[in-house]
Amino acid sequence: MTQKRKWVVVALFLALILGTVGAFASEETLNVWIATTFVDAQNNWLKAQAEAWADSSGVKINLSIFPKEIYADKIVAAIESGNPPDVVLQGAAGVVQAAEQGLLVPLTSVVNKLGRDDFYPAVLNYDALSDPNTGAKEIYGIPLFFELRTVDVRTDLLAKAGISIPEHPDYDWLVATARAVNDPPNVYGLGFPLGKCYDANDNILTLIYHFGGGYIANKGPHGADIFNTEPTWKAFSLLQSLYKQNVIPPDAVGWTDYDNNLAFMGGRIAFTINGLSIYYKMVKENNPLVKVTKEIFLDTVCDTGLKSAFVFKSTPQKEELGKDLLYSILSNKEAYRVNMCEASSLYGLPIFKSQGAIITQEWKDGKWSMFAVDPMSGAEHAKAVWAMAYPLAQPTSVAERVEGSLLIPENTVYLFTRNADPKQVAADIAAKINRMLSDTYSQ
Amino acid sequence: MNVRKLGSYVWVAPVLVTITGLVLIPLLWTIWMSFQDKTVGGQAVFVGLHNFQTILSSGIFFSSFIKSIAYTVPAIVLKLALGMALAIILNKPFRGRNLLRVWFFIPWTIPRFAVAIIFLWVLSYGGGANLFLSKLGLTPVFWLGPQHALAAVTAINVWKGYPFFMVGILAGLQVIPNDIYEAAAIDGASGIQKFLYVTLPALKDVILIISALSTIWTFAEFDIVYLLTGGGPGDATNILPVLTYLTAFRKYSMGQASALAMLALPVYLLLIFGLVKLIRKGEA
Repeated sequence: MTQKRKWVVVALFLALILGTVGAFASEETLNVWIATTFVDAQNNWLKAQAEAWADSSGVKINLSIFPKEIYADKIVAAIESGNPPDVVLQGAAGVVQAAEQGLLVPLTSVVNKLGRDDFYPAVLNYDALSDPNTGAKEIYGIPLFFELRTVDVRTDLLAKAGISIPEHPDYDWLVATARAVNDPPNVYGLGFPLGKCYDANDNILTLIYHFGGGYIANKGPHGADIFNTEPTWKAFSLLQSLYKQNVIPPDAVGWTDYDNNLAFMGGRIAFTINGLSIYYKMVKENNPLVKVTKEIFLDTVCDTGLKSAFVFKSTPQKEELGKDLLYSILSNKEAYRVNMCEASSLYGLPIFKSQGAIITQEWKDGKWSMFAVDPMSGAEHAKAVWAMAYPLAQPTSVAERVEGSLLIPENTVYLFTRNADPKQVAADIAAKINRMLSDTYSQ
Repeated sequence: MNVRKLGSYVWVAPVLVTITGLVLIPLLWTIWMSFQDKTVGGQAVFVGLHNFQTILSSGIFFSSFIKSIAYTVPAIVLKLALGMALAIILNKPFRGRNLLRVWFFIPWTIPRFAVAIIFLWVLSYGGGANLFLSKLGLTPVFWLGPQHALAAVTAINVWKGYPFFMVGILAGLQVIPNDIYEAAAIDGASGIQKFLYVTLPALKDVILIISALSTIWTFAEFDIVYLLTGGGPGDATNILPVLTYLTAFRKYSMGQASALAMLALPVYLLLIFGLVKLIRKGEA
């Protein structure tokens, strides 16, 4: 090789190296995760919004879409490997854990820009924590919709028993009616999941709240003592008696999250408490029971776990881009309502009061006839179940872990399979949660 | 060091690097982590034996360990019995034998998550199994309920895993010389005697190796059990891998999950040690 050729090769090699380094240095790629819900319309709209934002802003995005079933594992692995995404959309697990560890970017400015007063209060409280460094109260995640627990009611069975739905139905009415229409093994009164599943967790907590109880009152080592009190014992005893009396199907102790859906859609149960996924599925599958199914809220309304959007700390530029993406997705509130909420047959209810008012009006005009009550009435006084433990009224990673690991239904199953003492089961669960509180916050 | 020796190291290097990266480093990391208090995203803090103390004092490890044994031992015995029976039948010449060999091998080829989904539909209360029972006028069974869940997941493991035994034993049977059977027949040995004194001794090494391998896999089984029951109802199917997973990925406690893995490690090491010894014996 001549001297000249050698210099050409060296120059080309250097250009290649510098070009590669330069490309990495100059091009900001935003890694965006979407944890899917079972409603394709929601997932597709979020994807389209993210892509549209990327096109208009000129920012390159790397979009990863995960089924919700594997999202929880992915986010843990990503955080632990030190390689979290920049933005997560519709993430349920890990928000509080990440926020408490100081890994998330405060989104309070995005909320303010979108109009803080337009958010339902539960949405603002859900991912709000004190900044680990400054102590200031900040919002670390913006829930993208409410997934309120409604009661699916078989109105034909009610009519047969001469029962009508009152204006403000509560748990006492539900239990009395479930007993009245109970006709096992043809139709069981109440499809209450009792297995190791999230539906069981949410429904048990809702029942405890109905009796005036709670499960974490403060972050101290005795914060869960409230769980081992009269309301919990009453809730456990009620479930135990309903199970013994065959009002709850005997196989409910082995139900997973989908089994109560199947039981209702198959006509085995008169009532079940669930997100609106059952109704959505019945409409999609043209189930004949759609015509005789109504959705109601009880006096105590809980959310199954708000699917949040959040931004991980990285570089100041990426953090701002992440916030801008979230603002872009939510700023057109009309499009948000139509595509995230109405397209899901209200499985997802809007987080904005302005859009909730439109849903209410539409309901009054007869659009959402499956609701026996105003669909937005639940959002006004929702007690979030997932990470926002009641009555603490603020998120805690302990609640996220208690519910993620299904600690409560894992233990309550013994009420039914071993006829365990409700007080003992409540005490066991409270002790375990107290230990977690102590391990997490006493150091 | 001569060039040839250096060359052999170069050839071995990729394997060494792979094993170091995929086995040794994670193992050392797990050992280190088991002595730390470490939540997801948090700093690791050395806590000595605290994780082991917490796990052992709660009783959850022993309960889970017993379930793992109750899952593994019957599964291995049944897979061996079924695999052996089918191998002996399929070793005899008859019309359609090859088709049946393929047919009985199918469960091994189905992806594990698909197996879980199939059996979820079959074993759910309103699923295929109970539909069949009700057609016969029998009472439905809560297959995945607290009383039967462990037996149900064990049966699925047997269904998925018996072809491995079948194929292994079938291969073993095909190398036993026919002369030995003929000699035994001349000596007046019955069918059972031929099986006990000719077939079984000849298959001993094959059986031990596939049993040891299958025991390691079954003891570490996670996906089918988790997908079908999530470890429940209650803790009915909370075998060690499921418990470890839930501790790490749902309770966010990496330290305790690592401690659980470390407590299970001696069982795996014992099995691997036995397996290596068997293989070496076979080579000798």
